[in-house]
Amino acid sequence: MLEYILRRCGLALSVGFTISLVAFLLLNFATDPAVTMAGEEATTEEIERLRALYGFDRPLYLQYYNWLVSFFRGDFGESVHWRLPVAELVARHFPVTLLLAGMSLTVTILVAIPLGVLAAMNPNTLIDRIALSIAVAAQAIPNFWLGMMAILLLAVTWPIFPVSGNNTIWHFILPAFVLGLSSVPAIMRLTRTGLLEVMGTDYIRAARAKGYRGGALLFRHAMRNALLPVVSVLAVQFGEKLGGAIVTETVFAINGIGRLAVQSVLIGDVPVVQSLLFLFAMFFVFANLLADLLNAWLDPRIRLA
Amino acid sequence: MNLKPFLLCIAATLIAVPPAVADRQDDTLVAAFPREISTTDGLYNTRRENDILGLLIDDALYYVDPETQEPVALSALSHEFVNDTTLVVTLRDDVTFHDGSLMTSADVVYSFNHILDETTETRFHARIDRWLDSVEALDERRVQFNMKYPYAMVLYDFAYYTKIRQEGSYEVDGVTVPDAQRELALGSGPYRVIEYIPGQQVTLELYEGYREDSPKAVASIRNITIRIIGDYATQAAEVMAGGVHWAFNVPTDIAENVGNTGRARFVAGPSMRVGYVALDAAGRSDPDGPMTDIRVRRALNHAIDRQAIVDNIVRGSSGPLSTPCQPIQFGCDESAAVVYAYDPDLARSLLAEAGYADGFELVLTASRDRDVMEALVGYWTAIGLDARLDYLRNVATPRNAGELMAFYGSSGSFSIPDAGAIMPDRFITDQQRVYTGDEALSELVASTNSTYDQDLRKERFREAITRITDQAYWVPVHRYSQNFLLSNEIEYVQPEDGMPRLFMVRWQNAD
Repeated sequence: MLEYILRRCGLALSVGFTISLVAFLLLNFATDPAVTMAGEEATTEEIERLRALYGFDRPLYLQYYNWLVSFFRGDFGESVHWRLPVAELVARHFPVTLLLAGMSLTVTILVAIPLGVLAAMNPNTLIDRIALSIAVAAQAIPNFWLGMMAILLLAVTWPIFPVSGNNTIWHFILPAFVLGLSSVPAIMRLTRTGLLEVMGTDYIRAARAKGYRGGALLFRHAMRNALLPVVSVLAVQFGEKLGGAIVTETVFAINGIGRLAVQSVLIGDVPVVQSLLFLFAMFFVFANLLADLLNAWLDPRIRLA
Repeated sequence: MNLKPFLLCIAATLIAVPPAVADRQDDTLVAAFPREISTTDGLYNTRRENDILGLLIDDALYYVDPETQEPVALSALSHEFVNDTTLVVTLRDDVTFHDGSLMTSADVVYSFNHILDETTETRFHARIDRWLDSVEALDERRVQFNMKYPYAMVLYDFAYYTKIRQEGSYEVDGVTVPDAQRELALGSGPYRVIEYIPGQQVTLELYEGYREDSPKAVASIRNITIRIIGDYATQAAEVMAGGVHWAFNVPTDIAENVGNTGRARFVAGPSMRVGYVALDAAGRSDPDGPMTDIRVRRALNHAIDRQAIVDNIVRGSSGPLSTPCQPIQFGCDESAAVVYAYDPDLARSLLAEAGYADGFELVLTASRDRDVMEALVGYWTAIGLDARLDYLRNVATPRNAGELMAFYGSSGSFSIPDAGAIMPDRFITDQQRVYTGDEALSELVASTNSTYDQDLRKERFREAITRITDQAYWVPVHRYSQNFLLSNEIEYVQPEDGMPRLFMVRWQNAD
């Protein structure tokens, strides 16, 4: 197991390293960071001052090396716009995104797993078709549209929830619903497939022979094995939500790191964009790593393979 | 398991949750800003959001009266010109900062020296340093401003380009820290900052020590919360739901739709901003380029239908523009302008006369108002040009380097109702952004602000406007509209100069 963990960690690190390089090069080749940071009305002198101040006049490999070393020391640089350390900005915004990601994952679980179970228990029936249709619709509807519709119906027409902001837990319910719904299809299908497969196995037939039926059979015997792959996919979905709530946070004016990323792109705050790009990628990499390790822990066949 | 009690419990909880309504009973006005506020210190950001905030937090020496559009004394009591370049301002003796301390001449001298010091990096350094040589305290209440040359806009600059900070505000352990006032700027205006959450909101409270005879003492609402909501559709939803009372710069289509629901009011207010295309008449990008030919520049002016652009794209309270300034500004005399009527046939014949019957490649560089830019390109294509749009994030760099043949620009003149707030910046040739190459015009425009004789200034502006439009250095396009979405709970009248003054908002039917 230890060897497996080390192997996966090494792989995650190399992916992280590659992403950091790509993020760095993209920002440097797509735009002149000094011009972007200086803003619309900057003079040539101001641009050159920023170029020298932030070291953009040094060779690229040196800039990358310095950035990477600083990053792993916890120094993400300083925001040009906010005049604050990027690490402090991330620390201020991250708890909001973490809460949103956690709540949206809860929505995903509460919607997708019951739907998957219903579909699996009634394969190829109307219930199965309805469950699948809901999943397809959830996948097809863009977040910004669903978000606006949710606001119009549940905050404007029937003012049950607040429209936007992140002051109280109630402000998170609509965005969590919107963000969570986008992950429903994957989890629902996985639950359905897993459960259908498990229900056809020998040990379930044995359990039936012993007289287990209904909820007892489903929850005590079938679900435990059927949900093994679901758990690892949920870990990946959580990583996605940490870095992928940009649209939802913008529509609902939630002051998380997704919105920080959008603001930073719009105002050309290169140090923040660079760090967030890398952080988002690393969330995903570590969520994948966690999923791999969970799978290996739950299913010994994987680590032996 | 019986789920009914559980579900009922959830439903009851949800119903009991109060919707996020901005509560008039709390006497709190909620305003929505589309862009974040990076600092509460107006000396360090020149965005319109910071202008609005600055008028709430800070009282400058002078203030532009929303009715008359004239500068009136605010923290100052009076002023006197000792000679053309020496101005003595006498301060009031009852102006206090939000910590209760009295504003003195030492604070004024400290504030102006802070702006004059290039190393403090305030956003108004270049503007003030251009005309102000030094400032000194004559006594506790009198301050002398020593100017580099006679400067007609001095009171407007006091009103909009300066803030008065308490002496030592930026000193931390003996070191000047430009960010010292970033989170809770200590001002002397009608509202004081009580909370600042970067990227999310600023909370203000009516300053109880504010003097009652101030021209800004019309504030009646106790608290103001400024929320940052980047998405205009969300802003509109908030206004409809009662979570926000005041939103500005909302796109016309959204504002109109919301206004039609009756749940909020759409008000298209005036704006000082004008939009124009500057043409490379000086041949900076190409000494033999087509823009150096006056017939080509006139053809480009004749080719566009300004009224159609205003009616179909910009809408609101916008209007077509024929002058190099906003006609409501002092000195911006529309009758002095040569007006180019929409006449594509005449445009084609002018091009042919200039030797461009088969057209040429025209690149319009812009960084805003893409829909209007596409329309301009369409009009120029229609007269036979190979026109295309180069839409950049930053026009300033190639513009300052003299690389552009035509670029779109706009100016809000900082809401100053005087053509002297826009024309010198755009036509004095020692600036990198100027593409006229017209030294005589440059001298004429420079002279508009260097005399206090208003009649003479008017005459010089008139002369300059005639020359600029006759030579077709610009393609003036349109005046902007400023759209507001207002809750039915408030009353707000947008002043003529386009500068929103949030302290003028009142509750409907308030006593």
